[in-house]
Amino acid sequence: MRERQPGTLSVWQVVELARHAERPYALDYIRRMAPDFVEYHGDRLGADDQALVGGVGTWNGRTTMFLGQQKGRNFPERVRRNFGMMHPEGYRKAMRLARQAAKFGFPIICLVDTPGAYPGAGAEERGIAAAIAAAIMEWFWIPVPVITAIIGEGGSGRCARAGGGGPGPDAGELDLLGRHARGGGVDRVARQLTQGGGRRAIADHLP
Amino acid sequence: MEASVSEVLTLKPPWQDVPLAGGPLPEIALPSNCPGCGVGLDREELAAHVYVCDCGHHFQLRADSWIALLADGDTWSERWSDVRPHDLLDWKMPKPYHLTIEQAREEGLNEAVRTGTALLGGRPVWLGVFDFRFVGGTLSIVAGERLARGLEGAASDRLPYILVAASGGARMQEGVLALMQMAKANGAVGRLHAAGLPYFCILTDPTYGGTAASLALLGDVNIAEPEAKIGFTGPRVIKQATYADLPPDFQTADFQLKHGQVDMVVPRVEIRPLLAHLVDLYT
Repeated sequence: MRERQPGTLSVWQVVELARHAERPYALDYIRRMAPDFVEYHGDRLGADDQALVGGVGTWNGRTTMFLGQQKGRNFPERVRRNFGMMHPEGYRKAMRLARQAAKFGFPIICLVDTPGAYPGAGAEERGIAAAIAAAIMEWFWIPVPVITAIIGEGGSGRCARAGGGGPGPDAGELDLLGRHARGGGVDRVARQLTQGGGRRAIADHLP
Repeated sequence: MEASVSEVLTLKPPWQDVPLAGGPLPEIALPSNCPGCGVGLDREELAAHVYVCDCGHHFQLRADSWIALLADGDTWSERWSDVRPHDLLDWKMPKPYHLTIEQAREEGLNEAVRTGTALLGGRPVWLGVFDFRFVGGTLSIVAGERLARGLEGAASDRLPYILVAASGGARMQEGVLALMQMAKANGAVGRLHAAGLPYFCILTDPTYGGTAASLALLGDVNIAEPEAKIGFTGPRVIKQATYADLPPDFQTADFQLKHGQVDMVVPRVEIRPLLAHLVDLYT
């Protein structure tokens, strides 16, 4: 499948590639982009959601805040990270770090790789809908540049916008990008994003 | 692909060239054997290893130890050391407060918090350090005043503030006047945040009560020492009040990491290089 040209894969093959277990994950990107990365934990409210990783590091000579969903390389890690599906605590952790980036004027890089928000009873009990809603609203007020890259799966638009922290108004397109974009589609959607939201989106070109 | 991932992860981070201590630490009272592993202690070796046993046990440090650990050589410049405690409430329990103060002063201690400026690996910073030996490192009028002035000093000097917490909470013997210090210190923390300056908190064993509930957990980055106990109400009081069974790791640094209160748990030998790196990143 790797050798096949873009545009010749079926939609489902693209999805399978996007979910491939040997894709680079958020931390693989972050540690290469910023070898001095310092990872932070916790939402300061009650838990640390390991599906969402975040922290600061130097990228292009600037201190940058990195946020991303992390799926995990092996089964125990996948369980620990809940297969990249965030609980409410993950959204609250992301917003805490986004506010910190805003305080210090750090640009934010979001690496989206998630099947979606966690569809579980615990997430409901702790207010996942409100956590997502608050995150979407707050992203409009983060006065620093935000760059979002979909590095694997960008399932269930809500995660693409709130969790990895994509720009709110473009969430529909982000969703589309993650699931179906291939070949020229990536460029087209990225262009739409740039024009539509006034913020840049870098798409990881699917093979 | 996998090989190059591990390559990246084993890269030596550049900031680790910063030595683990700014100078030799003063000698502290030690048991003959380590409470962690039971092995007999070699004082000199332990002092060079910033009082961390090979088994990972961290001995509690005093304020002057932390100042020697964090500050470069003789760059520590203490401020407001002449602010003195008084027994304003004529407190008698468990013993007259003025005697407690006098005794601590005779032992050469100067209140539960010391603050001032220093260089950390060449980077100018403000430091605030708790001393657990002075009435359990309790937050008092003097401690609150020094902390608030230090935090405001950092805001006006536009420098990062580094807090090292070791405290049982607010000082009972000063009653509501001590509780007021929570508000005063936090007001000053708010000013530091509003000025856009970094605030790093190092949480050592123990950090409890009014100190944890005010400025100690408000850092942009909260760093806990391994095995440090951090919480609001201590386990004994919780058991008395609720008869609850508490988990063995209750209120440890790892417990608070899992519960979202601290950003990371960092061994003492890595704290100074990490702080130097964070100061670089945030200024």
